[in-house]
Amino acid sequence: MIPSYAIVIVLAAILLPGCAINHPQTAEEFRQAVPGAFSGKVETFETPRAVKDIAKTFQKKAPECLDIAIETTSQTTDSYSHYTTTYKPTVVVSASKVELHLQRHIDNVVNISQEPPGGYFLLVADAYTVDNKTTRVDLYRPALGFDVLVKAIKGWSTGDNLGCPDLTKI
Amino acid sequence: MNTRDYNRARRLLIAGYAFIIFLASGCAQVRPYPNTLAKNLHVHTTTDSGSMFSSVHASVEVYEVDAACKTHYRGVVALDAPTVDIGLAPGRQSFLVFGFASSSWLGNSNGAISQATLLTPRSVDIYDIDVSYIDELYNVVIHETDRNGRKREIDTQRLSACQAKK
Repeated sequence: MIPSYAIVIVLAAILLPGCAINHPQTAEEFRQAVPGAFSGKVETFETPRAVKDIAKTFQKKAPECLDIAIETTSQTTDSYSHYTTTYKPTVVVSASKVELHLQRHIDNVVNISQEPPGGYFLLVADAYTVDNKTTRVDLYRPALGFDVLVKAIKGWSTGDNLGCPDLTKI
Repeated sequence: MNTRDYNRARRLLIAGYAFIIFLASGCAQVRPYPNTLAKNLHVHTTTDSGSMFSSVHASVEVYEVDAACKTHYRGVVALDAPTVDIGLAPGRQSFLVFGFASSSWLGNSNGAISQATLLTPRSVDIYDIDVSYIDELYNVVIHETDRNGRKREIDTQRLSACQAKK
């Protein structure tokens, strides 16, 4: 009798090459991919805050809150798993725009597509100057499951809440 | 192995794990901070897990930092009151790790996250630290008040900012 795991491996070997997944390798590719992705969402809002102030907040809070590694242990009576999730934030500032990119890498996971250096892109926030006192923020974000991260980045953008997201809740 | 042997082996394994955890907890580096120095830090804490089915507890671990930037654990202070006063050695570098431990009764899940900072209290200054964990967002904000009553916010600093003295 053929073991069930062997069937799974054979099926995966047949099916995976046929449905090769190409994950975005850059922030720009991520921006282009999110609007058409089932698991992605683009959210836009405006805030009465100058883009240079948002840049200062992103530059302070991103390394403080998002440059982090989270260890997760899951244990049931029949299974045990332990893995580390490493987040990598990048802030890019120009005269009229600030970008926050967040990448995520998970150890001990078999990737079915090429992972960019630093991890898969999880979120990109672009803040643009509308006028002297108004900034528009485009959030390229996951559609579900990352509410606390989105809440934090919205808070940093508006200046209403400068808290760090508890990434153990993701 | 029959079912009875399997269950017995499993019980032994669980008992073994429990024994190891018991031993490890005895050796773990968790001890209260002596907190005998003049109180120059006032820690104001607000926690709210955002759900009646979960809770969050805040604490701060105190480390002394030597001239080579090595940390030496001095103990932990539970931030279980709205304001907790702590005494740190003035003029000496300390490393403070503010921890937030959350637990949920429904999903039987636990999590812990922390925010750390180097701090060198000046001899006559007073430090007010606002520590919060509200709806899964946490924050640590430090204000320094000098002898003239001037108050300013100071940024948290990573341990890597420590400069070893030769």
